[in-house]
Amino acid sequence: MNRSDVMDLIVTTLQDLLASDPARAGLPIEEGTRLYGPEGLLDSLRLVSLVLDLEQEINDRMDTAITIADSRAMSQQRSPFRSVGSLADYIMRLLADEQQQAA
Amino acid sequence: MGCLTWLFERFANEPSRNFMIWRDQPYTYAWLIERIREWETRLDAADVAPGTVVAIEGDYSPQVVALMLALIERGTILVPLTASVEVHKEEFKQIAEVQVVIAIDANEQSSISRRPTEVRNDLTRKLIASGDPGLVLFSSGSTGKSKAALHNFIGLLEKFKTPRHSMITLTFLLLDHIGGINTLLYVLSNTGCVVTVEDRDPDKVCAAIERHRVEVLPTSPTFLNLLLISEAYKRHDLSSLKRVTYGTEPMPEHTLQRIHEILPQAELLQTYGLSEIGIMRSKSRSSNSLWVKVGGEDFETRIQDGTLWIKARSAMLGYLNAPSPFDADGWFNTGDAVEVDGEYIRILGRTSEIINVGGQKVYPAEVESVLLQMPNVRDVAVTGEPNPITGQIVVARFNLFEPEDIAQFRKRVRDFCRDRMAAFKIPARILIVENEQYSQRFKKMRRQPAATGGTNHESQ
Repeated sequence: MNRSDVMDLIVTTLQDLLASDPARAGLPIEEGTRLYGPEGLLDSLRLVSLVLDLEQEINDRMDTAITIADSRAMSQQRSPFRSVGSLADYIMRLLADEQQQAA
Repeated sequence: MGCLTWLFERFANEPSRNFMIWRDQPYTYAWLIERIREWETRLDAADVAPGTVVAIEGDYSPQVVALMLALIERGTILVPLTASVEVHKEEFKQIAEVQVVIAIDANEQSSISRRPTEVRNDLTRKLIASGDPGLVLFSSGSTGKSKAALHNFIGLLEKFKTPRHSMITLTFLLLDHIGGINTLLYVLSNTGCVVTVEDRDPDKVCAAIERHRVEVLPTSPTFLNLLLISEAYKRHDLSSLKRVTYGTEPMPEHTLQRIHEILPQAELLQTYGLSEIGIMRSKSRSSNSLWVKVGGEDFETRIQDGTLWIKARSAMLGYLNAPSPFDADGWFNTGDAVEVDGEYIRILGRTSEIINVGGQKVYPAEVESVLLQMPNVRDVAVTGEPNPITGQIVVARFNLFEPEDIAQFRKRVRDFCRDRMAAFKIPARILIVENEQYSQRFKKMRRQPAATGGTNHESQ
């Protein structure tokens, strides 16, 4: 998966999760869209769901075993869960690390 | 009468101090004393006699606090019910044999109503006969049925007679929770100030800390995780915080280290308490340590088979709707697995199967019974799984009659659950499995080596 595939996946997964939320469904989702925190799209429970859904989908497609939310993610100086773009960057890093380990 | 005389004297000595900041407005101890007197007159007029079982419906507010104190002083049995238990309110009133309901709404307007109930429970009758005030708190039972713990309020108040530091304390623990009651009594007995917030959004909490120079933050590991993820600490000045306490669920080591980094001036302390025994005094080995010494003058502890047992003077009298959990010598099995190092212990988690999502308890059987009502669901098993954000998450593994696309199915499950259970109970991880689930103990199947994958397909 390249970065734009990951972005697409984040966008469709978010749209699915927000479909039931009339206040947020249909809002534009872009690189800079905030996920959690002020003006964030998600509450804490939906954030957990987003991360799990992405993890499952990526591992299925790529035959990988990445874990997006773990102690490493929680220890970052800048939270990977701030925005759609920062999450995509973090996932790309995890995929690159996994490839390196496999090589 | 007069079990709170000592407390009211302390209030009278500090009339101009604030006891509460509510919706950003300050309320003084002089105001509180006046409201307590008013409530006494109203309770007289409504004929609420000592020994009456009284439910208070309402969340943290200045009036609710005044009413609680007036009811304790009067020697009634208090049953605090907050909006968070809305769906269980009627059941809880029946279990506690509530006779009078006093509801205080969001605008501080109150109403008093009576229920034609006679108290039949022996424990309650004995407490009423003694003339002491009581408190009923609902706690988790392993089967999903809530248990009602009856306390003698005098026992809970005892430890607060020793004067301690007066602090500005922020709270979002509710008053139907032993931690919420404990925080309130601690603050009032030292004529400190409680700062309330309307929800637990990290930015709102941090803004309140900054605005009111809050010194103590009693909280949970999940809130601290959300504080880190939201980066709210970068947008607000939290330098007034002197102490952060955490309890209700096991603390992840990495969260503790990061909080210690961003709040180097604050002492980080673990607390330990249960509805059945009250809150113990505790002392963490250091701010970045999960090892803790628990006890205090009124508590004895022992470890048996790796599980913590406690004997407490402030222990409840018993459950109203379940057999006594105390052994013959008065020891209580907490059900918490612990590690021991000298006089310090480290809490590993519940030995039972209750799932703890951000400090809120989920009973697998309760969630399964809802999911089984879904069309095309043949069987389902609900378990917990560790999660770095909310401590644990709810995982549901389904057997279906007809195959379904997993993404569609996930959506269908969440739509189905939305109006049928609280958000934190809705499964975060949803799996379709093909094997029979008689053991119900599959953990992280997809991380198993591919060689064994053939027997247990999990569509994800």
